[in-house]
Amino acid sequence: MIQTKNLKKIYTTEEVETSALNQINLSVKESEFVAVMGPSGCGKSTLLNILGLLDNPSEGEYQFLGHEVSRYSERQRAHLRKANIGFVFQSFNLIDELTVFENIELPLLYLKVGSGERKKKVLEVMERMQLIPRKNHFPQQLSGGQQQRVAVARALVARPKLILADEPTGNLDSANGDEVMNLLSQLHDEGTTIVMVTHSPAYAEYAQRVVHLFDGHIVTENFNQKFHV
Amino acid sequence: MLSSHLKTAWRTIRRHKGYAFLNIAGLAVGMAACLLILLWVRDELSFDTFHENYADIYLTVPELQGKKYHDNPLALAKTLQRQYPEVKKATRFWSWVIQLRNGEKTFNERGGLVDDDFFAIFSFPLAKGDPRTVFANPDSIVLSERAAAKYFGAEDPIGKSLLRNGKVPMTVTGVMRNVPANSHLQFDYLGSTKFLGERGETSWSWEAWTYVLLDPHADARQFAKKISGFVNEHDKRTDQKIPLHLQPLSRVHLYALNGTDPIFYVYVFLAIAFFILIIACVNFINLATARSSTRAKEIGMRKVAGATRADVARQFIGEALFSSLVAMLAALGMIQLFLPAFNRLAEKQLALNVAGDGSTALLVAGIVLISGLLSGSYPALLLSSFRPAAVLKNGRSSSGAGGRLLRRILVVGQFSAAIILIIATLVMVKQLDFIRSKDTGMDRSHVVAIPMSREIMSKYEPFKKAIRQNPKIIGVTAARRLPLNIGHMNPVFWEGRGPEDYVTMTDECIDYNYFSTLGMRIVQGRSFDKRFPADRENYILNEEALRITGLSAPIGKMFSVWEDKGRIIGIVGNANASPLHRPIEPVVYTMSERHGGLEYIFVKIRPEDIPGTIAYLKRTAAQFAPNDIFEYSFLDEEFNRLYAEDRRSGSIYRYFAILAIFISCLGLFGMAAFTAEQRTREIGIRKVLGASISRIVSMLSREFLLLLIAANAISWPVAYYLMDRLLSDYAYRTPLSVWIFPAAGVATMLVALLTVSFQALRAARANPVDSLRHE
Repeated sequence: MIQTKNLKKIYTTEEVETSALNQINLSVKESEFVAVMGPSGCGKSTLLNILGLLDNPSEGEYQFLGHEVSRYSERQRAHLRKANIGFVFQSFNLIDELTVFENIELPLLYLKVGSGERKKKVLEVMERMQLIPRKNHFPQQLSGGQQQRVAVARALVARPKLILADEPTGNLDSANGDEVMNLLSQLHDEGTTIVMVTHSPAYAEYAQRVVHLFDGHIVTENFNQKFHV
Repeated sequence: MLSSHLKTAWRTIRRHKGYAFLNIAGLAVGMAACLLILLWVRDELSFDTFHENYADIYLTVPELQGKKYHDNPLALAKTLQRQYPEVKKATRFWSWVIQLRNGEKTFNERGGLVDDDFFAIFSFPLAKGDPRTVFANPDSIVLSERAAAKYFGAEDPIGKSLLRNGKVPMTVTGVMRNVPANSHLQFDYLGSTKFLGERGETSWSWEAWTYVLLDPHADARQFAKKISGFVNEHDKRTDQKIPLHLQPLSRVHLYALNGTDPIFYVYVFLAIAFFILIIACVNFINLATARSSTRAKEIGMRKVAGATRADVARQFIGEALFSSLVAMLAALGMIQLFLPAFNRLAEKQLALNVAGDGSTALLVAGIVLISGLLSGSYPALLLSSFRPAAVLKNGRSSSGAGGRLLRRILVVGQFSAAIILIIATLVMVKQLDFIRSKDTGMDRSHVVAIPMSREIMSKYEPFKKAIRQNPKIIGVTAARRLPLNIGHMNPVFWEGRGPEDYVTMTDECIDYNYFSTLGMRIVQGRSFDKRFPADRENYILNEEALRITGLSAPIGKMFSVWEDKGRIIGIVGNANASPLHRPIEPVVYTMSERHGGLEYIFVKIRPEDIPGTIAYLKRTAAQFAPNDIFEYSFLDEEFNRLYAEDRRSGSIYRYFAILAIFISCLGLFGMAAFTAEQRTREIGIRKVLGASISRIVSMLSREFLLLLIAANAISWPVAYYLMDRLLSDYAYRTPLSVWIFPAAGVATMLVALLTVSFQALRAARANPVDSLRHE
C-alpha cells in the first residue's frame, strides 16, 4: 500500500536548512499495523504528514495505492486523501464550533455523500464508539477520552483504507489510552491499515512492526513476536 | 455543506460576540451611510426621466457673449415648429408666481404659462380634464391636486372660477397630479400662453423657457447645427451673434449652463459612499486576518477531512457574505431610523422600500454582494492557504503574522480617507464663514424686502409716505429686483465707445435712497436726487461697469442702454449681486420706468422690536391693499439662501467625516484588542520583570501611532489638491490655511490613540499571574 524510496524532507528558513527526513525507505502492506518511535524532533510527525498526503517530500519517491504521489498538487492530494486516509491526532483537533455529530460528519460532507446516507453512517460509527448520548454536545463539554473517541470516529466514518495516528494517546490518562489502543487494535483486526506514532513502548506492542527513527533516519525495524507465532 | 458552513459561521459569531459585533456594527454603519448616499445619487440622476418622451425632449439655449441662458425669445417655439419638420411639438414655460383667489381663500401659487402641447410633450398625468383641450381658452387654468384641494376642498373644481391677481377671472379646466419632486419644473398651476394675446406670438424678447419634442428619428446634433443661427435670422434688432444650442431634458438638473455642473457634487458624494464602504470592509479584512490564527486549527482539520483549498475559500467568502447580510439587515434598520433626518438635511423626500421596489432591492443586494466579496476575498485567500501539517502541530498558523503588512497598509488607507474628509469639512466651513463675513459692498442686515402687488404698485408713493411715519423705520426704497441675482443683460453705449466694443450690462431700475438704504457707497459723483428732474434719464454705474468702459472722467459723460440716452452722474462701489461663486457683474442703475418699473420695496428697520415693526408694515399694507397677502423676507436671509447648496453639502461632508472616523476607530479598537490579546504573555513577562503600566501602554500604542503618522503624510497632499479644486469654483475664496491640515491630523490621532490606549491600558493592568499560568 505504501512504498517510499529515498524520501527526503528539508525545511528551509531564512538562515538555516534543516533536514527532517533523510533517505527514508519504508513499505507498509495492506492490513499492516506499524508503529513509529523515536525521540522528539526525530521526524516522526513529518513522516506521518508526508505519508498522509498533508505535505510533499523534498526529494524521493512515494507510491500510495499504486500512484506516484510525491509531486501531486494540493488539489490532487486532497482528492486522494479524503477517500482513503483517516487521521487521529494527539490534540484531538475537533472543531469547537461543531457538535459531536457534525464533527464526525465532516469527511462525508467533503466526499459529497447524500444526507440520508451520511446520517446513517455517522450514527453507525457513533453507536460503535458509544457516543450516541453525546450526539449534540460540543467538544468542550467532553472529557479527553471522549474527545479522542470522537476523533477516532471521525477518522473511521468514511471507511478509509489507511489510518494515521499521531500520538493518539499522548494527551490521555492510561485508562483512556488503553481504550483508544483497543479500538485501533480492533480496527486492525478488521483489516484496516494503521500507521501510528507513539512514545510509549507499551502501546507500540499493539503493532506488528516498530520502526525507530533518529535524526531523520530509520535506524531499526523490529517485528513484534506475538504476530509471528 | 452550506448548512454546515452557515452553522459554523453563526456559532463563530456567537462565540466571539465582541469581535463579531465590531465587525458587523462597523459594516452596518458603513452600509447604511453608503446606501443613504446612493439613494440620494439615484434621486439626483432620476430628474426628469419619468417623462415617457424624455430622451427626445430638448431645451433651446441661446448664447450671448459666451454666456448661455434658459430664457428664450417668446416667438421662438412656434417659429421653430413651423419651420422644421424635426420639431414634432414645442411648448414654452413662462414662469410666473400669481395670486389666486376663491372667495376668502387667497394664496400665491407658482406656475407658468404653457402652450397647448404641454401635456403631449411631458408626462404629467391629469386627474381631471382632457389634456388636448385644457388650454383651449386664454382664461383656462389647470391646478395641481394640492392647489385644487386648497381652493375647493372636496368639491369638483372643473368649470369653477378663480380670480387671478385680484382682477382676472380664470376657469379651471383640469386637475393634474402633483408634480414629482424629481422634476426640474415645479408648479401648482398652469395657464395658457393665449393669455398673452398677440405679444406672445410675435415678441422676440427673452422671457420663457422653450421645450421642443424632436422626432425620434431626428439627429439632435445635426438639428442643433441647423438652428444655430435661428435667432439672428428672425430678430434683427442686434447684429450680435446669438448661437442657439439644444440641451437634453435629462441634463437640466445636473449640468449648469455656465460654471460648475452640479453633477460634480454627485461624483463627490459617490466617492464618499465608496470610501465609507471600503473603510468598513477594511475593518472586516483586518479583524478577519488578524484573528486568522484562532481559526487555523479548524481550517487544518477541514483540510485533513478532505476539504480542498477552494472548499475552504468558499467557506470564508460565504461567512463574509453572511456577515454582510446580517450587517445589511442592521443597516436597513438604521436607515429607517435616520432617513427623516437625512431628508431634512438633504432637502429630499427619499424613501426606502426594499420589498416593493426592484431597483432598491437590487441596490441593497449589490451592496451586500460587493462588501461580502470585498471583505471576504482576502481573508479567504489567506486562510485557505494554511498548511494543515503546520497548523495542526502547534494549533497556530505558521504564518501567524498572516497579512500583517497588508493590514498596516489598509489601516493607513482607512485613516487617510477619514483625514481627507475632515479636511474637506473644515475647508467648507471656513469658506462659508468667509462668504458670510466678506464685505459684499452692501449692508443687508435688517432690510425687509416686500414684493409689491399691482395694488401697492399703483399706490407706491403714498404707501411709502405712510410707512415712513414709524420711527422704527430708517429708510424706504424700491427696485425692480432683489439685489441678489441680477441677471438681465442689455447692450450699452457710451461716449467714445468704438463700434467693435459690443458690451452688455445688467440694468437695474431703482428708486431714490436705494444706495443709502442698502448701505452702498458712492465713490464718485452723486446719487439720484429729487432736485434734478433729469435724473430720471441719468445713470449710475458700479465700479465694474466703469472699469469695462475704461472712462477716466466718467461724470457727465453720455451713456445709454439700448437707445435710452442719459448722462453718468455717479459711480457706486461694487456689491455682490450674484453668488460669490461668480465674479462681480457690471451694473447700470437707472430710475427710468422703461427699465421695468419697481417691483420690490426695501425697508431698513431698527434692530429693536422687529416683530412689532413687521406687524406695523403688514397693517399699513392692508390699509392700502386689503385683498393682498402680505409677503416679506429679510435680505440677509435671501442672501444666505444663495449658499444653501454649499451649506447642505458642507453639513453632509461633516456627518460623513464623523462616520468615517467612527468606523475607522471601531476597526482600530478591534485590532488593538487583538494585538493586546496576542501579546498577553509578553506583557505578563515584561510586568514580572518590572515594566510600568505606562511603559506597556506606550509600547502597544506605538505601532498605531506610526501608522497614523503615515496616514497624515499621505492624506495632506491629496486633500490639498482636492480642496484647491473645490475652492477654484468660487470667485472669492478663503486661503487654504496651513493650520487645517495638522488640526485634522491631530484630531484624528487623538481619537485613534484614545481608542487604542483604552485596550492597551486594559491589557497592561491585567495581573501577570493570570496571563502566565495559561501557558
